[in-house]
Amino acid sequence: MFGRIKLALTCLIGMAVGLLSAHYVAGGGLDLVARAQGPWRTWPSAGLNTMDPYTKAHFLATGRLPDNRREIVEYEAWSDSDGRPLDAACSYSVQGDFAWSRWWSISVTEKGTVEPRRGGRAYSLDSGEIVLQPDSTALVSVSAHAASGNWLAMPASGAVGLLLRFYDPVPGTRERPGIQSLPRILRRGCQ
Amino acid sequence: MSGRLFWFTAALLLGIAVHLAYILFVPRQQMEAKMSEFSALAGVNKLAVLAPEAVDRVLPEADPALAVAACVFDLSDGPVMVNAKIPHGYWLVSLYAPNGDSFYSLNSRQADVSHLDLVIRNRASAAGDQAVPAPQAGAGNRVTVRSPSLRGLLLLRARVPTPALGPRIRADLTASACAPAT
Repeated sequence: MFGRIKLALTCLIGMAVGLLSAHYVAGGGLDLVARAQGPWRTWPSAGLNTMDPYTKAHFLATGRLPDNRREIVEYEAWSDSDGRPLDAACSYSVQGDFAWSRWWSISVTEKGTVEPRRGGRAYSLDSGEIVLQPDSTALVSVSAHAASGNWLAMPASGAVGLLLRFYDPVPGTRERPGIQSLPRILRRGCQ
Repeated sequence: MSGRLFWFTAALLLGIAVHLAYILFVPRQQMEAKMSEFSALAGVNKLAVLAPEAVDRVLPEADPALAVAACVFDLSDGPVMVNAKIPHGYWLVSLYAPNGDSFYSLNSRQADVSHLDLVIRNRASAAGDQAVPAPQAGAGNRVTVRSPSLRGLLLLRARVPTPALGPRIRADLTASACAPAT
């Protein structure tokens, strides 16, 4: 009887450890396959011939296709620049220099969302829609409530993330993440 | 004590096996499932422009700033030809193998054309061609790509700078085709 319980527990623990560790490393944990820059994280081998299996798992296990980094450099952020998890109940400003690619976009994503809900253009902004600051930087207000200027809408509640995609990045930046500045994510207030 | 060590070692080995199985097999299985989803939407060796709602369903987190057309290709009966009508502005062609590898891509800066003839051949059918798949610029707008597998997925994506332009750009993509090369 005890032997069976031990066997079941061993299987349970082994499977949990295997799955959780795979998720953790593929998700950028330990920075083994992902590179962090402030709150932003990118997977440098995404879509390249040298793509490692963890990077591949990071994208495909969540139903996404890894884009070739020579075409699209993608960053994810799940926390603000002070390290606090992004929360849809709060509003944020994302400010910085985005001008190292032909164009870019910023989108809101929800952790664990299964049901698609973005048939339109909600929760996403294209750089063509952005009005730049006098110093040529961009300032995006991310909030569930309408804001003046470049407003990126968020859902009303829950844990959220930001996806920043640079299309046709200038040579030299795509294979060497970290050499270009990325925007800061500042919390402005919470409800 | 030796009993505890045994169970600990067993759990650890099982954990390693599950970890490796997840990393090595789940991506391929997911890619196969994705290709089946695209096949259901577009058929095989046919190009379909996806409605935004369909894009959300089959490509989670896809950038809504891109209109998407897809073709699941099967080279069992020979090469496949993609005649792409290129909308004005940024566009991107990406080819994926069933294991999730992105083995070819081309964008509007690399080829500033209004239409593109892209021939996909199986790499194995090209005698003596062991090179990494690469575009072979031919005459005009014709490009030949060697696929590492008999099946794969082609995505043709075009930027939709503002929502109002979405219908027009999707209509442009609709004029593209993907079919067995004759």
